Amino acid sequence: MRGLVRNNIYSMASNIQLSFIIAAVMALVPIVFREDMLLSMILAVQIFIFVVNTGTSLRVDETSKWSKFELTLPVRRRTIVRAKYVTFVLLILMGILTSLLTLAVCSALGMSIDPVMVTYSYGFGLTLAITSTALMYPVMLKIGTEKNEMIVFFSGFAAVGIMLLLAAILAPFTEGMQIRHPLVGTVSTCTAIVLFIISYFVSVRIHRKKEFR
Amino acid sequence: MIYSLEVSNLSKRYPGATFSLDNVSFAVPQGSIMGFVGENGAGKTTTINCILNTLKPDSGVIKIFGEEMTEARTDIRNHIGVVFDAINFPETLTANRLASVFKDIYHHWDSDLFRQLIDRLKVPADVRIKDLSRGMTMKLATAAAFSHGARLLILDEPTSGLDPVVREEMLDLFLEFVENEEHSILMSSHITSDLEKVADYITFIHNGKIMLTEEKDALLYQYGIARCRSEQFQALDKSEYLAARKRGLQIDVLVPEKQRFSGQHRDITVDNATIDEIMVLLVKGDQ
Repeated sequence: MRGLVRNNIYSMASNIQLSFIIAAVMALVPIVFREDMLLSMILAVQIFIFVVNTGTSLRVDETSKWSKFELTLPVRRRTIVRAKYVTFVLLILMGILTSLLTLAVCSALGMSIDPVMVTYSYGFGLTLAITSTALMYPVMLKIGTEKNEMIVFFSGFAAVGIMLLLAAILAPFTEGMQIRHPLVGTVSTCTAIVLFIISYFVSVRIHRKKEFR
Repeated sequence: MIYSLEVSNLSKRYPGATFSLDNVSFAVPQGSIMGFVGENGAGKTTTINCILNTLKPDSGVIKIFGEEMTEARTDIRNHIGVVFDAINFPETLTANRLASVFKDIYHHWDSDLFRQLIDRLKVPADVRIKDLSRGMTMKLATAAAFSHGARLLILDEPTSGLDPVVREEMLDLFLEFVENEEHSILMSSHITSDLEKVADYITFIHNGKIMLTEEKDALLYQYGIARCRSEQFQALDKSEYLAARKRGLQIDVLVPEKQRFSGQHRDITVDNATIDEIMVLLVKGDQ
């Protein structure tokens, strides 16, 4: 599996570099603007920005016929899918690492950081990143990657929708519908992780039935 | 005889399409090169995809090295080298990066051999695949297929679109590969001149059906094409020929034993047959 993960990362290398540059520049924004709302957005975007590359990567795999070729390698289909999910986790971890850079910059500037705001930002960013990949990959596997931009957009939209829905369900425990409440962030992230695990099994099932001409 | 690859009664139908593979059966003896010939859309790639499990056959059995090939048999796939008629690899990779990927995938990846092969074939190691020419890409795919201890190569149109010099280099590599008598190649192609140079056996496929499997030397030296006039053709018994095709006033007739045929029909001219001519007669002629 290590070779497959390595290949996934190599094939996204230039996009990952670009994401790093954007995330690093965003980490410097608090030097100029010291607003909690903006900081919250930056953290969420930094966590999400790396997984946006997966749509492009899957499309490249398909156009270069690598998706077909990798079936001839001494690996099972479930290993191919597992390697994709490990790659997604690595991308999310890259996002978390760059977001820590932002917090380090804030700390170095002596800014006071609101823990509720940070919990909300991480909850939102992780929900967005994890839910998007959980929805995106099986859908692309099933219907192809021609409409990858649209699938990425709708996956992100669905992630926000899930968070709003959970905020509504949890309203009795959060003194009204409050998307920024730490409980909503925590439950959203846990829901996203459950979706991610379900998504893996669904993807294995789709891949097993999929034919590559 | 020991077979590296045995395909038995393979059938595959695409939903909503008229084309189907219909009980395809053939076998590749160990130590040989089997040419797999047919016109575009005959079923060569579909057969190869079924063998490699990228397509799921509706029925039939595929045995590689005597064992049934299934999705779970990663041990068998460790000994199969594949070259498709396409880019094969992610375009953003270089040969060096590809080697580091395969090193972690194949149990017997030989980095030194891969390095030697790409040096010999003059494939740049640090240029991205998308910036390589088609010839270079195919050379790279061939070098990768050779570098992990493969005993069977499955090549789908590996020389199509290549210039004669590169094609010759590739054919030399294939011949070197089968110098080891445990090695075998299944090579689909519609460049029959390439197969005349390297193949030991030829299998013809048309409309998803196997028309003929024969030793190449038999095709070239025993088979023949009788040039008949209409009345000469009418006098022939159907058991004497495999296929016939009207060409103007002449009827070309594919005969499996040209010497015996000539002996029986001294008034009919019988020419040597090329693989191309045999294919055209099998595809276009009446059986």
